[in-house]
Amino acid sequence: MQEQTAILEFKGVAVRSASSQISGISQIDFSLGRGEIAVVSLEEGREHIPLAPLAQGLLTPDSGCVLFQGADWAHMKAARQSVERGRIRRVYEHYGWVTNLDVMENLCLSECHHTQRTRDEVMQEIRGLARRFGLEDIPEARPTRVHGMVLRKLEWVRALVGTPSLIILERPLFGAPKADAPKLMEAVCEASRRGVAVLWLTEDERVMECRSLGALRQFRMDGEKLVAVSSGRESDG
Amino acid sequence: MSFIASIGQGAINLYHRIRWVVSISTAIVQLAFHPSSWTKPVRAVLTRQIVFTGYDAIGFVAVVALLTGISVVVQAQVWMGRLGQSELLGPLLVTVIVREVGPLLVNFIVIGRSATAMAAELAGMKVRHEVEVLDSQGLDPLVFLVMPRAISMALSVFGLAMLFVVFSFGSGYLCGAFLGTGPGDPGIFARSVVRGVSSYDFYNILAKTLIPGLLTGVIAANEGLSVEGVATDIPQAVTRTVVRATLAVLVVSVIVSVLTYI
Repeated sequence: MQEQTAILEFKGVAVRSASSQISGISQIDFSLGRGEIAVVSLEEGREHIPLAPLAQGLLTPDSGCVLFQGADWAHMKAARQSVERGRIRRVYEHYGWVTNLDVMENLCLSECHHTQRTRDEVMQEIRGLARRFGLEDIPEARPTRVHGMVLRKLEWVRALVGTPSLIILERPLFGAPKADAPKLMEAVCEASRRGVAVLWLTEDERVMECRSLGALRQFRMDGEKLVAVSSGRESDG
Repeated sequence: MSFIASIGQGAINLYHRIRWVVSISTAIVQLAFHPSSWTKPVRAVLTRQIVFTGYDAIGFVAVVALLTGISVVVQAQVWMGRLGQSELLGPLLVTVIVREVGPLLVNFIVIGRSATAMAAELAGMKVRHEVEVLDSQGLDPLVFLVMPRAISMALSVFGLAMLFVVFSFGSGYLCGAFLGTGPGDPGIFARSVVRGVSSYDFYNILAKTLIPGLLTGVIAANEGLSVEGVATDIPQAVTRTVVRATLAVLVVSVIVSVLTYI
């Protein structure tokens, strides 16, 4: 039987620390298949680990390579990179909004740009997902006028809209009510059951301990290295 | 030696900058003719930019055109009448207003009013990492940020220049008629102007509005997006935009003028 192509693959990836806020990483090797969830545990207060920008081809590694759906980001043309990034959703560790667009435009942006879906259709899905996280209305204001907690939950909504291949969650529970964490985990599990691969960077131990997260593989950052804590597959070291 | 080296380095830098702006402008024109570039969000940006750069500027351009028309057209009417060359009024007005003053003033207005705002807006987005947010969602900054802004600037400069010509001729004629310096009959005035227009003027005004408008948009976007993470660099990016876009407009204007008369 032919082996299925991994959604995301890091092969001997190393990046030198570019600033005091961004951590260097070395010899990162792992792959993430369809429907798999990889949780990377981070120490509290640790500087930014550039796994998300690497996974999206926004940062070129100093050595090694990152493959998305079997293709090396470094060998893709810019137009192809944009199309592939349209299949990735992300909750950002830093501010993840475009301030000259209102919140709904921000939420619809990727889906309206990359698919033929109508805006009304996308908005309907967004409203449904928002209700799931306790948001009855989507604010009509620009993001700078919306409360940080609401924006954080709306980032979860944006990450779940449409049919992405990969969802990257960078400390998604930061700034969100603790009571809502299970709702996010449940939504992520559902996405994973639909075949979406999930890369979840967290400081929150509850995510590591959450048994409801189906095909869960756990890692932790040990200095600059990624260490497998428990692997859903035997092939991982 | 170091003096000569610095001149050489300056020339090399200028060459690289010009090559960069020309290559981005070419890429934008190519992208603009590609239907797949015009997704719903990109069209929305284009519409918004045309409203801001073109529609919102109509009032100010109209005022400048009215004042220019009064000063230029009335003076031309008076002096051509005194010199007994009234039949040359049309060609003279077309040369001054349509070929030179109209496109130049509109370009300068757009630089001061919109290009500065665009450079500051994009520089702010860069500082706040919003460009990375767009890029990470698969929205190429060249397609989503630069192309619709540059195209809207080119179209707006063209549209505003046409309005400028109409308003300045209109105001000049009315003022001349009021002061008794003009031909009186609007038909005579209109025919005189139309006689002065040649097919070259059509290409001339197209070249002096669309090309500088596009270059202004590209320069503003380039300066804004070249800011590296520090908010204090934003005013410098705006200043560079004004200086470089003004130079670009003047250089294109001179080249087109020379080509028109060769």
